[in-house]
Amino acid sequence: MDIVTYPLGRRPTVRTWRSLALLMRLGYKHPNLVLAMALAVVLGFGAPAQSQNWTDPPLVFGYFQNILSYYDYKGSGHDFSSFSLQQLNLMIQKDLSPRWTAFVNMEFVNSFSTSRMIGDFNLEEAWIRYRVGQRHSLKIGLLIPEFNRMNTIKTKTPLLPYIIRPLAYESSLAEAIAVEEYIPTRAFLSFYGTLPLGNVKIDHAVYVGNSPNISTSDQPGQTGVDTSRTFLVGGRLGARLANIQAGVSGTLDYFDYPAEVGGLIHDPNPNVREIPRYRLGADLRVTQGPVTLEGELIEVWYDDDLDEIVSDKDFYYGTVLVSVTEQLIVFGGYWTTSQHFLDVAQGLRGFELINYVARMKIPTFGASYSLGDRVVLKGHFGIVKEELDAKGVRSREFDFNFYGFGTSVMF
Amino acid sequence: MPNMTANDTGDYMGMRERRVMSLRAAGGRPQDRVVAFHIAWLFAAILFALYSAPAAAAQVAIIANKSVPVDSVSQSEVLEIYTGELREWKNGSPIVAYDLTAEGTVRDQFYEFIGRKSSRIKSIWMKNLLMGEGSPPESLKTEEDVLGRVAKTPGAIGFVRPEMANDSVKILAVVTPLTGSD
Repeated sequence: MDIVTYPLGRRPTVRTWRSLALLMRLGYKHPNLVLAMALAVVLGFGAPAQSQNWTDPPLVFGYFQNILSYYDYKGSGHDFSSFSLQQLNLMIQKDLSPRWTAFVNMEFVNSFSTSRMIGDFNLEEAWIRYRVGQRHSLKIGLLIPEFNRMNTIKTKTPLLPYIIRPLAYESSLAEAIAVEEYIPTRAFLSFYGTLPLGNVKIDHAVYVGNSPNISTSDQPGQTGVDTSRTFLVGGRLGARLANIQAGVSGTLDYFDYPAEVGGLIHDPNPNVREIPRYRLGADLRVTQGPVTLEGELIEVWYDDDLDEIVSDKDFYYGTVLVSVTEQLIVFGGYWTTSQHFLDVAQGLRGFELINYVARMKIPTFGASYSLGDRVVLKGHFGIVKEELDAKGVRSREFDFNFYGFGTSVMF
Repeated sequence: MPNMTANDTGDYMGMRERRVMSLRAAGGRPQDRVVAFHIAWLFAAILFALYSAPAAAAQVAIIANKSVPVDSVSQSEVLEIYTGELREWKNGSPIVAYDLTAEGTVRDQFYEFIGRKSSRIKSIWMKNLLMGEGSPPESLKTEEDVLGRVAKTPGAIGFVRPEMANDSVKILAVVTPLTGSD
């Protein structure tokens, strides 16, 4: 490994430590000021997004998406509209040598503000990559695993014409859609690359990560993470030929139901721990002239052998995109999810398990317009229909229309 | 017979008579119409040639640093290099690609050759950048800059007009692009 190293300067002196202590006290009293200073320092290293040499300073770049959204609940009186900074991503990339690259991606969502107690901050990616030969790479660290075509680009808003992403990828709908059950969101080791086979290019990726939601406590509501026992393994195999790309993806990880579920099942010895969970995905994208058709499906099932519990899920989406000009793209599509999940409720005979099925269907339309290379204006309209069945009986349904206008800016 | 005006007269003449009349009016003889016909065709051919000549005749030389371990490249290899899919030469040395800043004949011809529009290449690099898969080739202002940088940078590749290439670099291909990029 031929990582180029740089002299880090003199050894820290007593004066240095005092300065550091002063900075820490300042940070304790004025966290926003220190955050601003840190950002200024980081941005000060910024360089234009051009070809980087391993002796150059780190590249700092990113993007954000502002939106104005309006939810029309069709006369129910619950309509509302809101401005928000849907997402801001700050990325830092540094080529350490011709083969080694480090990359960090920090994500702030929903107008993140600690003082107002809204939004969220997420360390989305932090990995180092080693290029193996001409066409393969090994990534080590926190990374977004390859699953279908959309998973790795789902948060890269400048690449997408959508404001609301295809449902299984839309983290802002996390209250309604179990995003992390549909898709693997994190892995820690990945080997991927491309193999040319005549005119066809075979894309492949395999990865490992942690199984999520492994509870270490028998107390209800505990969802502490213990990653010592089970892992996530997965991959994608895809093919590209001219303007057609297709792929299949799959993962296996292990899931724990909340501890109290075991006591509510009538099976004398129920196993609710380390349930194998399988995800299967398929993706297709075909471009012919100005028209692109893209679609995906995801199936999730739990191999739990428990008749009283169903947690399987599925998701489909298909979108037709038309490039009217090089700047203007219009699209129309149909997205749908079906989620089985369970909840614990107090009935006449005490607590009981209830199986729910939630369905969401969205015919959706929109357009995006590129202003130069770095600014994209977006408009998005969706007719949302949600249904909730409990024990096989329709318990709730509601419809609303979503209107969104956004600006995605890359810097 | 309907009322006729002077302008209508020609409709009742034979085609041959009208042509002879027009030639006579221009001071020519009947056999001159063959010459006029050929001159008209020649004029049209010259116009067509002038219109189509730049696209058909302009060539692009794909040049590389002399350290590069290959003597030729295919269209698909150049496309892979300029979209970031191929990053190393066969001997493991890194590929350093150079582009031109301003859109012009050579750059247009180069993108025609690799079969992608400049805007498509930009969107591919935006994706690469946001995925941490690398940043686009450095763009230089002039062909002289490209020639100079390719000559002195190990593993470098670039493109210039064929007449610009000299002994300081290796010419991997001289190509005449076909039109029709996506």
